[in-house]
Amino acid sequence: MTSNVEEQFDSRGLILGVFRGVRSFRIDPEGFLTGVVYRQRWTPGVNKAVCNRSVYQIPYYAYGATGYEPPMLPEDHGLDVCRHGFYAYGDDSNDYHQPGFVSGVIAGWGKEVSIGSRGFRCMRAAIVALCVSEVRITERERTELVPINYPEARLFDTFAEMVAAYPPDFPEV
Amino acid sequence: MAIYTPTAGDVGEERKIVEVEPVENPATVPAEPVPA
Repeated sequence: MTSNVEEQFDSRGLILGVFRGVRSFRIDPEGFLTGVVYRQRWTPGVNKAVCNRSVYQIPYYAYGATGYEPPMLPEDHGLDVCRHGFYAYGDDSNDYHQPGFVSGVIAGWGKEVSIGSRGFRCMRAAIVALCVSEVRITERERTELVPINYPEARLFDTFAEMVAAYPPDFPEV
Repeated sequence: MAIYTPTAGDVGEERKIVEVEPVENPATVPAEPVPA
């Protein structure tokens, strides 16, 4: 199954290449980057998005006390029926950035990539560039580990320099 | 017509889903930077 509400979308098609967008990361105690909302680690190289949403629209924390494990959505459900995926934004729509977070540029691709007016969601992603120097000084010990953990990412001193070198690149809707 | 109100963290109004296929391994060959 991929999509069952296809008519909501203007079109589908194949695009060769990758999209680029900016996003923010948290740094965990070992200097690995995690998502801001869902704190799963980003790995060097290709990251594959997974969805943990149940078939019921109930927050995950509502199940904690009971031990109840709700049935999950089918493994291959589409982006149009769910909000999962890696999120990336145009450089002026990166709402999550704040002091203490690392800003970066990711490449995104996959069987389904949902293009929004402010960014995109995708099922595969790789970190292309990072700006760790803007993270506050109290986080320095952890930020020093980031280039070691992500050797393929190009490092920049400022967000502006990073975006100038790797500007967001995804189609307008 | 529904009125779309963006919320923090979303990618805006999503109107198109496409398949995006890399022409080279994006994990090992970083995208070329734009010339200064």
